[in-house]
Amino acid sequence: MKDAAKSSPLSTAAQYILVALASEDLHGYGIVQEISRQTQNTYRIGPGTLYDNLKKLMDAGFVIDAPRTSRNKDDDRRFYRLTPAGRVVLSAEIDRLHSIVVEAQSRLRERKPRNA
Amino acid sequence: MRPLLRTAYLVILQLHPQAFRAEFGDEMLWIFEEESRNGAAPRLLLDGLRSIVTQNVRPRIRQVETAGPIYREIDSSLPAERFAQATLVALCCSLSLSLFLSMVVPRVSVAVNGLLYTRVKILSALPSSRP
Repeated sequence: MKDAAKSSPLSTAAQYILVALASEDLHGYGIVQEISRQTQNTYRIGPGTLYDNLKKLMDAGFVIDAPRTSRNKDDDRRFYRLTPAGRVVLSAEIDRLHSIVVEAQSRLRERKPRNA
Repeated sequence: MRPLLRTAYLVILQLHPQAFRAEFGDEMLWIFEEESRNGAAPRLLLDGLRSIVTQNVRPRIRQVETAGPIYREIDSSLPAERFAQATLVALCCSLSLSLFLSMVVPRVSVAVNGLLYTRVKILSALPSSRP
């Protein structure tokens, strides 16, 4: 878990995929739609980018295939699920981004004109 | 138009590595079909082309990374990057050689059927560095 949290920063697409899977299991097209909804249609991930990142996340053990449940047992599509390690990585990534935002805001407030 | 775009996307999928295609090919095609109804086909085709490059190049880079500096596996697949590097080196060498020859070989002109054939002097066209 600690190793997962220490992993290098995630790509934008990987961040969005993990956020999309944080609340529920989704199939590929569901992830595309969820990301589109989250970003108010400003970022539409293509299937190539989606599955490239999804494969990387699955290889790293952050995402797994969701087992068939009563909800999707009749659905032939493949559902993806965020693992506990993936949740740790997502939390660490959010903390990292938050610290950048805080730092940027404080620096922007502190900035003084050069010739003052 | 849509069947043509679908065929183009199928071709793009065929150019992906077999393992990746077997695992995600059907889902990629499904998303392409759903999204292309909203007029996103050109964007998705570009995304697919980028994915071909990513999926074909990354395994080779990873292979070198895992092998390390001491041990390196011999890759029997077509080394496209090596061919590109070798072509670049060959071009540089031939250009250098032609520049050298244009300096040392005296200019010779031959008139054939009223046309004057001459050796190209590349350096003579460049501005001289001497004052």
